[in-house]
Amino acid sequence: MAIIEVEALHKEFRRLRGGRNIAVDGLDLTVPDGGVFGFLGPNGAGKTTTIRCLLGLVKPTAGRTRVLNAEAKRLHTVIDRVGSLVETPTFFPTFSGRRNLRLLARLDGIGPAAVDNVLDRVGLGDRGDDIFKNYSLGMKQRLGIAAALLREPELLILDEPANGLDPAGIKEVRQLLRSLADEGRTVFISSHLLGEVQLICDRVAILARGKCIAQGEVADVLSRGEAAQMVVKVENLQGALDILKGAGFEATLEGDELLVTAPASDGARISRTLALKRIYVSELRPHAVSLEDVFLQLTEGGL
Amino acid sequence: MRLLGVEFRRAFARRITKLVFILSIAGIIAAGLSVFFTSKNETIQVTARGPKIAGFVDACTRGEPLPVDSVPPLPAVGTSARASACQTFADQLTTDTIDKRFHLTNLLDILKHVSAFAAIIAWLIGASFIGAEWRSGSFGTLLTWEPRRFRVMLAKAIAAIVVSFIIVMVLQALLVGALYPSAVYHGSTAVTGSGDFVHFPTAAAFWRSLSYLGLRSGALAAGAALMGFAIGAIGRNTAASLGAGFFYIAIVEGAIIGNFVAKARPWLLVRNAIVFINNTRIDAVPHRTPLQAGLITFGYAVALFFIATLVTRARDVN
Repeated sequence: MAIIEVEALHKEFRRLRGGRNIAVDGLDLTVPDGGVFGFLGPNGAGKTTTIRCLLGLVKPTAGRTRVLNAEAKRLHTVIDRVGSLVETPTFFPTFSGRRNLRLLARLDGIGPAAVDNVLDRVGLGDRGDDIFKNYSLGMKQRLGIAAALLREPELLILDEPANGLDPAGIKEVRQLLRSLADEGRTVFISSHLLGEVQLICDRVAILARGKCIAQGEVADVLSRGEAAQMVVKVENLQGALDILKGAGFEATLEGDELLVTAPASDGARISRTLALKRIYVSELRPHAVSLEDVFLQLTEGGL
Repeated sequence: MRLLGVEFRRAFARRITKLVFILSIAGIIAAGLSVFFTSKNETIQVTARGPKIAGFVDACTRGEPLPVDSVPPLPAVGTSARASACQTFADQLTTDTIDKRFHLTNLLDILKHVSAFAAIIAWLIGASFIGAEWRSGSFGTLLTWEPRRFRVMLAKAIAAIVVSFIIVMVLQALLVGALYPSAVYHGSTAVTGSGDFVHFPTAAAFWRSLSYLGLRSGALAAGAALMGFAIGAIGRNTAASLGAGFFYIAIVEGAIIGNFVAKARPWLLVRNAIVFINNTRIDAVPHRTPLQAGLITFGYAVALFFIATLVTRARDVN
């Protein structure tokens, strides 16, 4: 079952000096129930605008969004099952973090104990009484995540949740998001930290110039990257390179190894080709493609 | 109701609310002390000047030249009404100069003048209530908890109205309390009779009149808060609301429409507010009753609020 559905979403903003800026251009997106869904894209790709459309903050020029099966106009019927964080969290600057959360909690009849609980959960338990405007960016981010968790939501929509966090904070958030997904919630995050996304996401969508250019399970999206390559290690690199090229393989010398453009299923053929010429392989493995590689390849035109 | 409760909590917890309240109280204390120490119970001095006043009245009654710039039309010399009119004339001339007492009935004029100040404070509270939210971005955060913008706007507007009304009512009560000792010790608490300062049939009638004036002033402040809120919501900025309010009242109404568009004068905001506060018709808008003036003033505020709500519903929150 899809927990978020986006169909032909289109959003244009008017420019001050005339003309229009297309932020989202016919986006189709389906986020299944459960797990962590990464929403990736370069700056200006339309990620935040899409999230704002999902949360009813921005009205689409065309297309439609459904969150927890509720159309945008009926968002209020499901909003208490959604926790969200959009860009940098914004709260009343002269109130403490705890007071800000308590005000929000009161909207849903949530007691102060739950506020203390989420503050502890995001590591702000002992800084909850500090004034919000004195928080560092990382602390603001943690408070935003705490606010998103207050309702014990089924769906978390988090826009750059690790923004401003230090490495330890990023790791904590990663573990937190993973644990939330493991509890059965759906976590929808946009992020630039592709290494982090790859570590915690089950599925991803890559956005460029307002359009979705890849979507699916992480492994599937990775496979859409550069043509599959095999890493070959031998003693006689130059000899092996000549033999493989002679056998019709596309191969290059990269440091102390060869990169052969071929799917993993061609491993045996590569090994046999070299062995017939008395060159024996010491290592033969698929070349690991990172999400970052795929992201950069797929979004190259949009960067 | 939860949303409304949260908005009330926030409104009362805001620094500007507290600051306005504290500064106003400081002003009230200063006013109370100032009036107390500058007012004097000069009943004795009035008596001491009695012979001088009596001489003036005698000269006036006989039709002799008087040491004043102008003399109002008086009954003919020799008639019985002449002496009485001369006494009234003498009273009018001498009252301001020799009566330094603080009369309790002065509170009516003071509250009328304070109502304009109260309306400005309320405008500021209403404007900053929404303007500060847009500035901090917390309005967007709230919409991720309650996406129905009309409800959000209504709750905030009600909070701004009620908080402004309460603050103005409390400040007026404190002002009356601060000035009351001046009337008791350095003036007069008399309110019944037929003189310049005492013209109420009963003390209860005076207090009732003062209370109604206070309520009208509080209601005007509530309307001003709603207008400030509405313009702040449209401009998404406190300063925009204050600037637009000043520009409209001082320039558009005061300088342009008020002077050059005679037909529009009965519909001007400030003139209707004056009629409403004074609870009497004024020459500038002779056909407007105080009730009509009040309804028109609040009609403008409510209309502005609905425009602001429509604008807020239509615009994106970035």
